[in-house]
Amino acid sequence: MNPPVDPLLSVEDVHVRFARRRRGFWRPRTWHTALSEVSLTIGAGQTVGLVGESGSGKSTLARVVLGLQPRDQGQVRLRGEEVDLTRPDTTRAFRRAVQAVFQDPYGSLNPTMTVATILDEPMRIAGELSTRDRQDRVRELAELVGLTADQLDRYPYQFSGGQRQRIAIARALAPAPDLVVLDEPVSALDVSIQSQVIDLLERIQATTGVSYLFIAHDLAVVRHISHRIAVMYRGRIVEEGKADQVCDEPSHPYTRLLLASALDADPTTSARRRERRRGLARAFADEFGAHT
Amino acid sequence: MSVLPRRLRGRAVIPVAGGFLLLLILVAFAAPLVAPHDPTTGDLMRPAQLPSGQHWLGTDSLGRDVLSRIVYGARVALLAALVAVGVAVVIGLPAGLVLGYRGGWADRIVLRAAEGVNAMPFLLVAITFIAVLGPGLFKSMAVVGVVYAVMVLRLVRGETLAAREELYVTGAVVAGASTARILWRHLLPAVAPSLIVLVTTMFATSIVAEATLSYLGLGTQPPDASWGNMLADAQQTAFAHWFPAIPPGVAILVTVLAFNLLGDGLRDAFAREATGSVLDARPPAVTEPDPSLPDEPSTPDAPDTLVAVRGLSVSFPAPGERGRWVPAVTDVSFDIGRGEVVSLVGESGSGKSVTAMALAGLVPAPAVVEARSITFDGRELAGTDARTMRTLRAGSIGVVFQDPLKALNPAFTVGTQLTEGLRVVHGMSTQDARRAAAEWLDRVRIPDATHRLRQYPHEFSGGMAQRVMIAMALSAEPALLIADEPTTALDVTVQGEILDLLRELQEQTGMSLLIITHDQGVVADLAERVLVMYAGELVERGRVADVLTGPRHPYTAGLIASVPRNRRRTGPLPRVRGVVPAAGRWGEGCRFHDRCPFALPACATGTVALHTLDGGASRCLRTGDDLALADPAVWR
Amino acid sequence: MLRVVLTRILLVVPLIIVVSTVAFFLGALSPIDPADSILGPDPTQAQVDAVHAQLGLDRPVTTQFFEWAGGAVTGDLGASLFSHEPVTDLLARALPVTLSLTLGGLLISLLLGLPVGIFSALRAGRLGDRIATGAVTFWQAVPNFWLALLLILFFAVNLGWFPAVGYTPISEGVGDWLRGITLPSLALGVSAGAVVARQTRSALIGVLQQEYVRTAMAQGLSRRRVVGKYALRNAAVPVVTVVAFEVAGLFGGSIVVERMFSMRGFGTVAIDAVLRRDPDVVQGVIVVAAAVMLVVQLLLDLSYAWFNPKVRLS
Repeated sequence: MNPPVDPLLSVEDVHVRFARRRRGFWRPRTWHTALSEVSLTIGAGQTVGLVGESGSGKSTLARVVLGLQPRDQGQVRLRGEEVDLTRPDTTRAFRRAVQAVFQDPYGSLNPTMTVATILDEPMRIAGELSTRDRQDRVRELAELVGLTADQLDRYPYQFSGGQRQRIAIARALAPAPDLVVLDEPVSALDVSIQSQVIDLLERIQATTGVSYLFIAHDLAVVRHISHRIAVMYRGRIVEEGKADQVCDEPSHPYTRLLLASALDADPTTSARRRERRRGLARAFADEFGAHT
Repeated sequence: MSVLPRRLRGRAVIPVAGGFLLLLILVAFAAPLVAPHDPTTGDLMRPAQLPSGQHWLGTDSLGRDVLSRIVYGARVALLAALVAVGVAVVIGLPAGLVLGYRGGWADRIVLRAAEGVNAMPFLLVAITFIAVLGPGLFKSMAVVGVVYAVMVLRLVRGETLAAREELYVTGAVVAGASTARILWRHLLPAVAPSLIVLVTTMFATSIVAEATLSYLGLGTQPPDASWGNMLADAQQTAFAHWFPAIPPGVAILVTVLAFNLLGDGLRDAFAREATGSVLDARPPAVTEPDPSLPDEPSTPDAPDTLVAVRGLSVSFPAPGERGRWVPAVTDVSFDIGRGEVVSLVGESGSGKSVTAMALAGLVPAPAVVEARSITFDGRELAGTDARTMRTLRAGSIGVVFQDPLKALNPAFTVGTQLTEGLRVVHGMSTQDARRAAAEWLDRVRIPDATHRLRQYPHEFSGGMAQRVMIAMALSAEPALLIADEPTTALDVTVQGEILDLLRELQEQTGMSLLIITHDQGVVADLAERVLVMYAGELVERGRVADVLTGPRHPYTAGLIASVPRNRRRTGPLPRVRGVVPAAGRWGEGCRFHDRCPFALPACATGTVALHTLDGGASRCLRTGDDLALADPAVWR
Repeated sequence: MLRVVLTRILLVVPLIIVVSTVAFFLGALSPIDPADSILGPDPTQAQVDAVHAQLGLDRPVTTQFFEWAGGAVTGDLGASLFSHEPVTDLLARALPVTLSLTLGGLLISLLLGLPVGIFSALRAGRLGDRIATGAVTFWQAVPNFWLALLLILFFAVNLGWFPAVGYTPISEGVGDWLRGITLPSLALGVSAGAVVARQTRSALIGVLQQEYVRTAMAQGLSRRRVVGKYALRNAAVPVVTVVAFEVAGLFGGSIVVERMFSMRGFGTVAIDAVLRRDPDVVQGVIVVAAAVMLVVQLLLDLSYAWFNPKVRLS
């Protein structure tokens, strides 16, 4: 299932820390470590799932990968070359190669633009296609994500959450990127819509060979779409491996706790699962201190 | 921007105020043609005359025609306002956009300075600068414009700062958009609505500023007419001849009023103000049985009934359309037994939260809640008054909400909020209430209770804050606890602890628990019986063990199939086709029929009744047919 | 808490220094020459030079500045070129007038604005709210100096209830002082009250949408208690902000209104000084006004800390 792949993007030993608000004018600054010794490789055509709870640093890592977050240490490489966003030529290539889809389908589309304009914008910025080619591509993208031609002239507020997320995906694909960072793309959607969107993402990957960095807090969702999974806890990647391996034979206590904490819709096993979760939580607390 | 015309509809104030201002601009522009007399030369033989056929608004102390001076004054006022607002926008808008987007030390310094300027008395700042430049209308108004530019800058900077955090701006950065493009295409449209409103009201204040400065002798210089210096002239002789003081004042008043009304109208058009509040929540009203509805079995589905709801409906007014109501929940009936844990499950827009809030009398006004009957502990609530609902909340019904950090008041300590109900409603002394509150924090396992009582909500983590909410809801020892998505806002590892706590407290107190959730896992973990809602109605109910393992409604089956499970994947993911319909747009027939793989043509017509089955019910025409609901292949 | 107060007070000092410096150089840059006012029309260059030498205006601007600043530190703000009265004395007489009007106006605006704003918010969208909002919009549009004129004509000239002009110091009788400032305070306070009413309304409406209000209702508290104890305090922060701005506005507005009532307050002093160019007086006015406003800002910051515990802690 996972043939050896060329690394498309790699994050090497990244550290990020944020200054806390000073408690008083005279007090010294204190720092919050958001990312510590984080390394991650995403292969071409591969999906890497990134799992963690709030404050684990997964969104900061997403911002690092997208070149939105300055690093205190470490590097990001695209096809082996260091990404230097101070140089216009590398910036241009990088901005075309890496796109993003965010969690909130309501905030991620400009409410004053039509769908056609939204889909056109990344290509206009890339500046490689003629107006006619861009128009064709907009129609092609709309078809890909299941929008009709007459919906292109509408505004985002006229769509449901699931449809907006399809538009956001189409926009991310517009400049034919190599990697799309998906930051909790289905967390805000209803369960019955989630699998539609995941299915769409998979079909796109099968036809275009695009890579995904898929971020979520729900291991079960991540497992179904990812080739590899990385688990984050308190700014570190505590476990990384093949998706099925991480989920079936987790090695880190936190991964085990996370897996045991996920509820299952089977009422016959819930009592047993509960006991298992409590046991793991106690074991975890003994080793790492209270979690909350 | 194209959203605008739709929003402008039905706002008479905009065309009326706008029309008046257009007329005023026209009159000012054509002053030499419109004014009946020369504004600066008067007939000294006819000073201070009352209105007459020749001088409609009389003459001033120098015998000049007041109407003509008002007309020319309009010219001065509008021109002056244009200068001030123009200067303000030309300086303030670009500076605010750039500072708001770029941030950094330049932003901090400019902002401090701007705050300083705005904190100074406006007139004094203007006078100081006029001291440097010397008096004169345009110089004065340019100075006013500079002071206003600071206001524009602060507004634009603030709005830009907020818009900069919008995901679509981040999206544009990721796509490689240039700063100029982001400012022009993404941030400017976001800033525009509030800027337009500010500019409109700034015209109003500029007109007052011009009049004020001219009145003080710093603006328009005599003999030129300005509404301000006309008032100054009139004041000289006001004790003898009061009338000349009226027209300029009225002119200022009406013009300022028109600009302000226009500004208010535009603001309302851009951002519809939410006016309904939970303060005015209406108690449920009684509805007569509807003969067109199929007769529903009213036999209790819980053994020892605490709550019995029959035919509950909730409607909200359609946004922006006066008189049209949108149903959110229609004809919902269910029971909750004493000591029973019931789960109400559904997706967004299913009406599950509204149903639960209706039970507690907490659906914000102006929503209308109706039911054929709601009994609580034998008391009929349909047709009752707000006071009874309040008494019920004070003692018998406790509520826990989804996001504990929003549900707790940020300005008061946890102790104050936790003891409030005990003191005010249950008449405990402050000391007793504090002791009881501390005991409750112990019971929900918050360590160091007495110290925590003195802390504010923002000093609590989400999980700890939810424990506080639970303590608050339970401190009155209610017979029913309603928990509305109590773990949705929390981390997965915290979720289990909160569910454990709820289960434990339910067992200890013997209360009934109604838990609202979208998560089948929560249902399986906690509940005995489950009610499934879709598109505002109950589609299935039954014992959790039965429903989750053998659903009888296709929607329930589809929902269960599409829950992601931590199992090795085989084949495509199961899903339900189509989208959840918006509230009120449910169409004819079964509300699920267009997404249902088992739908027959008959499903698209009429209404579907809830079919009672052993231990449950299902709202499906094909109840009784042998459907392969659990077959994963159906849901691919 | 004490630390916050001390920090804020320490920050005020550099601000005063900056404002004074700016005030001085603005005065020095002015093209209006005091010699023109003193000498009358068409003076000879020699006469002008003599006046300049006498006033010390022939020396470098920086020398003038340090001399002025040295005096300012010891409380000597110079003297008027025309009356030769020390600026501190002049302002000490004028400031009580303006402060009386500002506080009177503030009181009126709060008495008018808070009840109307709360009334409107609690009936948001309904008839009572629409009537109240309409009234607020109307009275906000009434220019304060015109209102002053109408009040004089009606209550002073026609009815004779209040004096039409002049200010009686509080030391000469509280009753006369009150009678003297009633009409000007009304003229000032009415439109400011409209702003307070609007802000109170929108802040309270916003608070009533918050989830914590629903929590309070869910506890079975009465409407009166939910609004009175909780919601009003939550709504206070934006209202306090607008009130602080209003104080500045009232202070500025009193410049016009005191002229209307022929009171010799801050504004009259300021305008006379500007029109004749009396540099020490202009600078004194700015420095003292800035100091007053900074005190207001300080009070504002402290009340934020009171109303919003998050500020208090960080």
